[in-house]
Parts: sequence; C-alpha cells; structure tokens
Amino acid sequence: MRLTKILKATISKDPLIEGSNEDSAVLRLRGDVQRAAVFDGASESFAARKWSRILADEWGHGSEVSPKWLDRAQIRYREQLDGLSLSWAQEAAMERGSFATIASVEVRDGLLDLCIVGDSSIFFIDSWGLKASYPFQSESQFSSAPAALSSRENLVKHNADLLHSGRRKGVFLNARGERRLLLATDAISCWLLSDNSLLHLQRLHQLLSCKTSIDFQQLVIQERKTSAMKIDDSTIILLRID
Amino acid sequence: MYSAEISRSQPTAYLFLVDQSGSMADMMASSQKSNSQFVADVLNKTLRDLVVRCTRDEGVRDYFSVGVVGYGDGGAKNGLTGGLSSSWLNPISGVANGTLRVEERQKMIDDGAGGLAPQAVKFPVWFDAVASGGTPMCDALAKASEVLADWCNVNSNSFPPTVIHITDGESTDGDPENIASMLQQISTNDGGVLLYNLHVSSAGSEPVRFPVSDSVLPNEHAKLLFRMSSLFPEHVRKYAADAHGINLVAESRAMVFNAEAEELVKFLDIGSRPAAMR
Repeated sequence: MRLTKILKATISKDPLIEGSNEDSAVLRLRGDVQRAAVFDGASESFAARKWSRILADEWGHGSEVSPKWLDRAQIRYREQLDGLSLSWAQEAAMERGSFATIASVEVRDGLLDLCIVGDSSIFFIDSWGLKASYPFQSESQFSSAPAALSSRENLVKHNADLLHSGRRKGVFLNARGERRLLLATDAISCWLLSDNSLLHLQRLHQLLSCKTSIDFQQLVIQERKTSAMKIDDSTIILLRID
Repeated sequence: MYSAEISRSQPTAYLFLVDQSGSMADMMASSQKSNSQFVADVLNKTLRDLVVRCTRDEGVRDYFSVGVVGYGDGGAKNGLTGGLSSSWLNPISGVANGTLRVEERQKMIDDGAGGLAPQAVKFPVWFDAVASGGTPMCDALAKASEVLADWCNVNSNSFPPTVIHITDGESTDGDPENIASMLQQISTNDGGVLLYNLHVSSAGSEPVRFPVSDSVLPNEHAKLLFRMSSLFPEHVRKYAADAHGINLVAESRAMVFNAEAEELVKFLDIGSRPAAMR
C-alpha cells in the first residue's frame, strides 16, 4: 500500500494577520515511510501555534507507535518558554498550557494505522463518495471543547490515554474506483459532514475539485462568507491510496 | 442571535457599571470587607481574568474592549484611571498595560500533605474602592448607552456588548427603567446589549438568584431590577451549569438580589464568560 499526495493546503482564520495560523501539517512519503498528520492548536492555548508546530515536527520525525514523540514535544515546548521574560499576564496564562488535536495516518504492515484525538478528522473516499469518517459521522457531533493533547507535564498520562484510545486500524474495503484519504481540521470536517445529504455531496465534490492551495483557500473564503463554514484555521491533506 | 464568534477583527465589549455611593461603605454580609472594597477586589480579579484569557506567548490579543463606569458623588465617571481614563472603552491589551499597581497577595494552595500552604500571587489593581455621594444610576445607564451605541456602530458584526451593573441601592436621579430598556435595544447584527444586574446586600437577607418571575422578589426595587435584566445567552447558561452547577433556564433573568460575597464572585465569573473565541 502506498500513499501519494494530491493536495496539502491551509488557510488562517485571519489571513490578514501574519503568523495567526495555529494549524500544522506533516507529510512524509519517502521510501518505506508513509505518514501524514494534521494538528489543530486550540486558540485558547497560551502558545497554540508553537505547540502544534512542535507536535508536528516531533511526530514527523518519530517512528515509534508509543507516545515518546509526545514526551519529546513537551520537553521542547518547555525549553522554548523557559527563560523568557514574561509579563504578569503571560505568567498567569502560561499556567493554562497549550492544547492541540491530531489526526494522523501511517502505513504499517500493509494496513492504515490511524490516530485521532479531538475533532480533526479522517475521511475515506472512493469514486462514489464518502465511505467512512472518523471520529464523527455528522456535523452535530462536533463540540466546542474537543479532547486535545496538552503541553502540561501533569497531563502526561492523560495524553497517553488519549493517543491510545484514539488509535484505529483501518482497511478500505469495498472501494470503487480511486481510493482517497482526507485528513482535515475541524472547520472543514464539520462543513463536510453536513446533515443535509445534498449539501454534503456538493461540498465533497467542491473540495475534491480543488487542484491547488489557492483553489482550497478560495473555497474556504467563499464558504465563510455565507456562514456555511466556521471561521477557523483550516488545513487538509488529500492522499491517494494505491 | 448571540452566536457571533469573538476574534481580533470582531471583538466584543464588557462594560462594568459600579455603584460608588456612600452606602457602599457598609459592610458586606458574610464578609470582613465593605461592599465597595469587596466589589473592587472582585472587579480587579475579573479584569485580570479577562486579560489572562486574551494573553498568548506573543502578547495580548484584542478580543475584548473593556470599560468601567463608576457612579456616585459627581455623577457617572470613568472608573479607570491613568492612560485608561481618556477612553470609556479600552482594548484589553491597553487594560493589561494600564494597571494602577501590581500587588503581591497570598493564595492558599494544596501543600501535598493534606494541608494548605500560602503561595504569593501577583494581583493587578486597576480600580480602588470609592464610596461617596448618592446613586445616580440613570446617569450611569445613559453614559453606558452613549458609549455602547458608538461601539456597536463601529463593530456591527460583533457579539453584542455585555453590561454588568453592581449596585446596593435605589436610583437617586430618577427611574432608570426606560434608560435600561433603551440600552438593551442598542444592538449589533448578533443581538441587543446584554444587561446583568447585581444587587449587593449588607443586610444578610436571603439572596434571590436568577429568578424566572418577579413574584419571588421581596420589593418594588427588586422587581424593577428584574425588568431591567436580560435573559442569558445559551453559552452562558451552559457555562453556569458546567463551572458552578447553576441550572439556568431560558427564562432566567440575569440578576441576583441581596447578593453576598459568594454570589458576587460567581455572578462576575458567569457574566464575563465570552462566547467562542478564535
């Protein structure tokens, strides 16, 4: 089984504010390494952008199934904040920590190894449409407080439990035509899982029609204007499965 | 309605109206402090919480505009001083940098051995206790209307402003009901201004919390505050249940009468809880 990139694209919630995108994405498709992930830094975090980027970097370089990559990410996060000169407000806010969701996929022993924490999602798509989605199947299942990986040292076990319970072995049975895999952060995922079946099909078609990052960004901006899509950082990785 | 997300390009506003009349010097029931001292402490903590909620590693994001209108001797006045006194509403980043002073106070924390130990915490102060003069509530509500009408014109797509009014007595400059009604009619595209009223008590009478009907209220002044109070948006009702175990229904009015220390702390925490921030 091999994964091939079709599109990797992102757009910030505030395109006019430089550095405001708190999502991260990793794609490693070389030789035996076949892995991809999206991370969504929670906006209420102290350092969401920093945390999601460190997570993405450590996950991208890690090769173990165990959550050691997450321990390394926590250490790096602390190292980057240690020694900074902080205001009273930043000192207080730092105690809150940082949080991020993850949706990842990796080819292991010919199977797709998925991991999902929070509301970033993975979709299995064939030529006929959406075959399956994780972790949700409907827009009504998205909440304002999803589970998330924390930067706080006292939540190491909590993080490990989330990663363990978020793992799934996926096989793609009964697919017709081209098999595709979509990783997406929550705004795109919720929009795609419209309870209106006609809208759902239309949106899937619109998304799969995007050939470039600019196509994707234009689609998101258009859907935000009509309030069809939540204004949030939005990131996708679209892959073909061969 | 009341569903707009809060962002830097689409902030919301919090305006605190604080009674600074002479009677606020009375001791608060179930507290060692006067009403004015306790209100000042809780307001400072609320301002601190709003600042911290907007603080990130790169600085303070301007999700909120914040102001304090104090009313008492001399009518309605800007309750913030220094650089913050030139504007009735300031961006939260300006509030963060505009403290009067940062005090060191003690907080009791778990000592890990079954007891409590003091820990020094930084306590920023923006607002000092004042208690003098009458209760010009109409003047304060009129000032709030003027300030928020301008704000809503500029921020027409924002989550509407929230006004949190803390008082211990009846208006001495007329009937405030019509002005309060006009204030609530000022709106953004996402809804009208929310007006929350809290009456603090020195008498130790039984508090009435978030009533759904004025029939449970003890006097005409309480009934007036009931009519002046908004209903809570859904996200606030959910927060009250999750954080404080307070079951608010859609008809619950945003008011507490005869509030003591505990009610005041909870009221400001619930009232200053924003909708989704991004």
